[in-house]
Amino acid sequence: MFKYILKRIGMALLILLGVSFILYALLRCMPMDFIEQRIVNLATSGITVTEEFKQQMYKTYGLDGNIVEGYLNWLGNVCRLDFGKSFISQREVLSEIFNADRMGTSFFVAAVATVFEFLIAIPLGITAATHQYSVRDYAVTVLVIIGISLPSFFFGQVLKDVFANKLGWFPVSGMKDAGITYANGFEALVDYLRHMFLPILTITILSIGGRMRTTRTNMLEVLNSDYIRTARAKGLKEGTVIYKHAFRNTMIPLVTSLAGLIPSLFSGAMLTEQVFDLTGIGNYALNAMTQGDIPVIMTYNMFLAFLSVMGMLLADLMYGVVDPRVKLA
Amino acid sequence: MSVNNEKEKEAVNATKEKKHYLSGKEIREIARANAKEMRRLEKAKNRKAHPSEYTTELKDNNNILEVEGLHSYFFTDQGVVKAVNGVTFNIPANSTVGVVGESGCGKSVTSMSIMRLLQGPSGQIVEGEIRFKVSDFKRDEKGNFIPVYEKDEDGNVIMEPVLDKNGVPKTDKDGQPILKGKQRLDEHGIGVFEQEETVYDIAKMPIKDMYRLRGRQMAMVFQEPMTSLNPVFTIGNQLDEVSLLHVPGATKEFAKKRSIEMLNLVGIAMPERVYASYPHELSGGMRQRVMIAMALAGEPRLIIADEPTTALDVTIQAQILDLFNDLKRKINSSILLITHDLGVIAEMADYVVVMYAGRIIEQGTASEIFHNPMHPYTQGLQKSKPTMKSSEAKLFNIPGNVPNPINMPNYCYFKERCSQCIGKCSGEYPGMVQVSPTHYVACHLYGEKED
Repeated sequence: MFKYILKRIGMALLILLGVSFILYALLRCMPMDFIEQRIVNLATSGITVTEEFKQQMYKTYGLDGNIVEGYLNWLGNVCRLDFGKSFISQREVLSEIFNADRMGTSFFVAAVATVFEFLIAIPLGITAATHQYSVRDYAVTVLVIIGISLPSFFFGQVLKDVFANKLGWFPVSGMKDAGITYANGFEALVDYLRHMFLPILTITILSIGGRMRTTRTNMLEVLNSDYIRTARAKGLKEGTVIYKHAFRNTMIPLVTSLAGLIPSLFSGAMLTEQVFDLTGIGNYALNAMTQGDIPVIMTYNMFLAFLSVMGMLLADLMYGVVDPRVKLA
Repeated sequence: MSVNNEKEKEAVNATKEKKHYLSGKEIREIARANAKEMRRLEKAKNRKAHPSEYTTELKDNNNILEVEGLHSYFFTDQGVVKAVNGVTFNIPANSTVGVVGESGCGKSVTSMSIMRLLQGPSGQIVEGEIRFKVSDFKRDEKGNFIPVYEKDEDGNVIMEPVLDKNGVPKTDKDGQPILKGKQRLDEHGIGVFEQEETVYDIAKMPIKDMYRLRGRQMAMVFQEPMTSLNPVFTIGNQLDEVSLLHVPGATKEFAKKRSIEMLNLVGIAMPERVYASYPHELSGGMRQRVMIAMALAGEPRLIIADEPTTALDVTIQAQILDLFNDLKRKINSSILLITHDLGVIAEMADYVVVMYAGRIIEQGTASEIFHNPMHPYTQGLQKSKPTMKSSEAKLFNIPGNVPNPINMPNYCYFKERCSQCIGKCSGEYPGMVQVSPTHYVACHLYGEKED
């Protein structure tokens, strides 16, 4: 087991190395890099830029060599745990990304939404499957398909319009009310939750669909299997048949979906964060991307790649826990 | 041979003429009618009912199961499939009844109907009675089981003080200890409750009440041992469930002891090891033994074995069949054996029921069916059995196929494949003709003689 995990971590390092090179190469190939954008800005404000100054700029930001040189340079710094400074703000990348406002906000929104997603989608999927082709099944399926098909920017706007503009129950956008001072920590928390409610609602409703549909399909497959018939023939009550014998088997594919889930907890929801004007990491990364802020994008994406690889390892380990047929070696 | 060929062609032509594609309107009509019927039957299945509603009497008290006029249908979008279409037979106590027939003749559906395991909402018992003698726990007015009390020589119930959680006797207001009757315990230390013999009509029972019977009064061994055990639970866990479910007051230790006893009984060499294994670690034959152990754990009166040896290789088949014969003697139960293998029937069955297209066409004792088959279909089945002595190059087969189950003709279903047709065969479906006290056949060839 220990050997297996070590082997997998070794493989993960190789994968991350490959990913980082591809990412770096792609970023360097972007048509308008950070320097060019700066120069265009300077030029539009009437300053003439000499070729010498341009070369100087490239050198300052470490973009003067070719892709391989640049990559090796970046890799060397990373090995010394130096992730560089953001081109835009000139602050340390790590403190830019991993702070309560950026990663914290995104993680909070995603984590709460995921918990609700599971709490709602799994029971819905199970009832839909146990009452296949009934009114309940059709009603759940239709509602859920509507949920899947709505684009987040549209649905977020609708929620905002109804609950914030028309009804005024929740603030329209942002992280806290402007110019407010809180009497105590509890008030601050309530205000924070009020701001987070609509984004979380948007993400939850949009993500329920997929999870519910996989649960329903898996459950149906399991319910039609022979061992469920055996369980019924033993005289078990329908509840025990479904929640003990069927659910343990339905969980197997749900556990693998954890792999995809872990990076999504930290990646932030770009569109939803834009709609509700949150300071989350998704919004920030999008901004960094358009401006060619290479250290930020590299760190952000490598962090997600690391989480994906670890998520997959975790899913495989969990597989061995929930399914006795799987032996890891 | 040429006669057969012509017949086959005729049969093909006949089905071609009848075949037409359903229009959208027809499909909608069928679906609507089905939905209405399925809703009615599902409602009856999920209703609450007092036991008196489905308590009934056996016609012959030597039987433990009587099936009468059983109709089990599947409601599909192409029409109603009458998988079991008026089946009547009895299972006497301590006997083996074999049901034989081709694939799709309704053998399995009959057994599933008896267990009430038809997959709803499309599969339903529509009509008929399944009378089953059960020994159920007696209940008081509140619906609780009545314990059997220990009595002294004078026939008075021995009283003992009621203890609280800490083992201290409870007292009433006046400081007197509260007494209760001492319940008799069996050899495993499990309390005994009063039981009574009753006859239930299974076809009318709500599904909730079936939970009491399944596994305890009747148990089933399925034909696919490879997929019939839950892959994520250990054998022990799955076996224990039966005892924990059906023995009131059973503890985990008791269940484990009993499960291991059952594994021993079915001839598993290392029961403790198998107890702790997962199904994927066992071979097909071992898994089928486990399935049989599971069926026996509740000490059922009726074991339904649905092609128990089909998925096993021949050497294991013989072992499993011997096991069934042994067990029948040991635990005094009856076996309903469903198979398409005449050899298995010959070895095991006391009575044989031959089914064709959802109906019984012949039934009798095993020796009557084997030595004096009367229905042309039964005769055909006998002839199509490979033997070592036969020197013929080609094995006999009955020409043609089973008719389309959705639009059954109103004459004998076997007419188009039969080599002994007479004029009467184009008339109504033949009734059952008694040829000996135990031998019945549904064929016009014998109806005339009887008249």
